[in-house]
Amino acid sequence: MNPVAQAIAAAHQATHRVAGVTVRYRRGDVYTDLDVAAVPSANRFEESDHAGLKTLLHVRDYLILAANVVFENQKTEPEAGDVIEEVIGDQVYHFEVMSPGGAASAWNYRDTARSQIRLHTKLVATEALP
Amino acid sequence: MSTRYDLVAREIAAALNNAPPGTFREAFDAKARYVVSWKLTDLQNAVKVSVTPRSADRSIESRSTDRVEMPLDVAVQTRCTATDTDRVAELVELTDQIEAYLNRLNLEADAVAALWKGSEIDPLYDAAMLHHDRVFTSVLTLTYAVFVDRREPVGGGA
Repeated sequence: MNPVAQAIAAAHQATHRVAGVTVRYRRGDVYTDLDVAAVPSANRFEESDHAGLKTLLHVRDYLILAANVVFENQKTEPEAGDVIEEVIGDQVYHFEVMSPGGAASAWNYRDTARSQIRLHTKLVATEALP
Repeated sequence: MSTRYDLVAREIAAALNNAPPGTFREAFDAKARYVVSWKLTDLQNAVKVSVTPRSADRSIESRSTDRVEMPLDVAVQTRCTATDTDRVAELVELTDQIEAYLNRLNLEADAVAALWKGSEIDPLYDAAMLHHDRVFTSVLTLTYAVFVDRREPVGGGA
């Protein structure tokens, strides 16, 4: 990794230390080996309309470190359908990784060194904390 | 006051909800709605069936009576991923079962009588909603005919 990429990666790590919240990251029923520090970024409500059938969407983006997507000691990349579980108040919010719409992908690297990932998610379920 | 649009939609929803057990491959609660609007969380573990009046086309039936052809949409919606092709097939089958159950089903309630005229499923499923929102949506359009006095509003007076 060149010095510029190292500096960018260090900046990303600092951002996660300062602004990150601890979330659980799962694929189906399998969780990453460790909880993940994620920085919530965009948070908005949208409405999609297909032939008069409206869907109200709570859209939320998260920034995570690519190095943290590790299942059973295997580093991997996010996939559409992965779920972020974030505790807010007394509720667990389940945000599913999916395309924000159009041709956009469900996630993308934010830097050329591929150290940080932006996940596009939508709220799919909530449950009370056990 | 209920309009004739409401009454026909409600009768269709009631017919679906009162179908004999085993008619459909899975349970759902059908409801008449003018506006269909869901959060993704509403659709997570439930199949939502919405019956929505769409339009009215009036023409002369006799000297004193008009025929009104009234298409209504029956939307079948639930959460589903585009990659889960087995689940998509199950939901398409459910829409098919709803279509078959309503085929030639005339409405003969006291509040409103309507003759089944035809049906169309379009889209069989909405690919854009499946890909972008991970919502399965299939729309069955039923056309019913009702007969009204030539001076009567189509929707009112039922």
